Amino acid sequence: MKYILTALLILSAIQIENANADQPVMDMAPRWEKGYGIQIRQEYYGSSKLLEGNNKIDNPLGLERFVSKTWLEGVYTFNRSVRATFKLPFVYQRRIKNINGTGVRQENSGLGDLILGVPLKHYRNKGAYTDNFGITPSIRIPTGESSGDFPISDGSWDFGLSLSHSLETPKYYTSVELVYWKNTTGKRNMKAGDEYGIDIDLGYHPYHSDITSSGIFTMWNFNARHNGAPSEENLTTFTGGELVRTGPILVLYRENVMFRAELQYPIYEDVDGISNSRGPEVNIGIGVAF
Amino acid sequence: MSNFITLFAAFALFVSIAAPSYAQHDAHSHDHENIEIKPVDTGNVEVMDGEAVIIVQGIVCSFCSQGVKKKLSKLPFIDDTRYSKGVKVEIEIQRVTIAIKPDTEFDMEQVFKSIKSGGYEPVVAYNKVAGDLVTVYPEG
Repeated sequence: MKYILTALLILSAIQIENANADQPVMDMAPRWEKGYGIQIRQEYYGSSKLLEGNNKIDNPLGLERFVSKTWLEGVYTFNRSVRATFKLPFVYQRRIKNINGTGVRQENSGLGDLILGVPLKHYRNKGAYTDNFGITPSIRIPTGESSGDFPISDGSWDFGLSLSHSLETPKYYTSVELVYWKNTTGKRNMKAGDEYGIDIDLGYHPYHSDITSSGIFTMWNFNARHNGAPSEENLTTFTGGELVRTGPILVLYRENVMFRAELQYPIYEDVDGISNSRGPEVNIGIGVAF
Repeated sequence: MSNFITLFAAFALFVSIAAPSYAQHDAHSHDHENIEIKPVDTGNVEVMDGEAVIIVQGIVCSFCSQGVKKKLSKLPFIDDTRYSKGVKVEIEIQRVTIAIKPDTEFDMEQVFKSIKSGGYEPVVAYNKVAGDLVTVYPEG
């Protein structure tokens, strides 16, 4: 328990976001009946790099966008095939926006939209490996504030669906997931574009101790996203486009506690019109399963 | 939409290639180590007095197997003063060892039920009765 409290205190002092599905507690555990888990995850991304299409352009106004989210996430496992999850972010965001030829600083913070999901998994346990196919319907409820110049939420009810497969042996781990979000029109006629993409994790398990139930996972992540263009009234997101990122993941675990740190770096971006790069992204999370 | 179809095709291709190849990789490596999971080689299983050993399909992740430990350690005949609350999980060989309290009524069916509730499938179990090794298979 002292490890958990220490980690939670450290993490609560940091600011960071992410909506990847391959998260410490959510995918790997708990897979036992009536199990539950909770985690705190910090995500941070942003950039002052300005793009037109996939070309970097001059940025004399110093336009930038940085977003930081602290996620509280939980999961309840009815049995290994049926789970329920929630994710609730606290968001801090700031940007310098071009308004009539002048760079204007705007910022906002507050609770974001609540995401509820029902991961359904079909497991196969075969000798020295276990794998599962999953389908996860999700809903994003507009609990975030949608007022102001730089609103936290567009106030819309959005619907997500993901298809996944993960496979694990004592030494290797792979995870592939297709994600899709249908974003509807919210308050003030704001609407983010629909999103779809793919996440791939390839992992290696270099160390494990049966005695202490602790170990290390190293992984490499590839992910690609397509974001449809938002409505002109949309004040919260970038212009849409395509993004491919990759980067390392480090996972440490001891008994029922798992820590995960992740860096994603954009290797290809093609924005609609002119927009800031999403920039590199950092994720740090710690989860505990009971 | 064409991009989406491309992604889906990539996903299907990846799964079809990765799943069997990783599984085969480990099966082969265990063959090299003379450890077979299925069919079980009883000659590789050593059972100590006051213990039972269960071969469990797919128990390859310590963090994921916490539920098995949790469920087993709650059983009344588990000696939680030994191992980790009475349970040891060896993920390299998919083996669970439980410590049994002396002079208690041991019930292997409850052990199988707890492992299933923990998300895994037990294949076979061994324990000693009056000094003799006994093999028990789960029902079904």
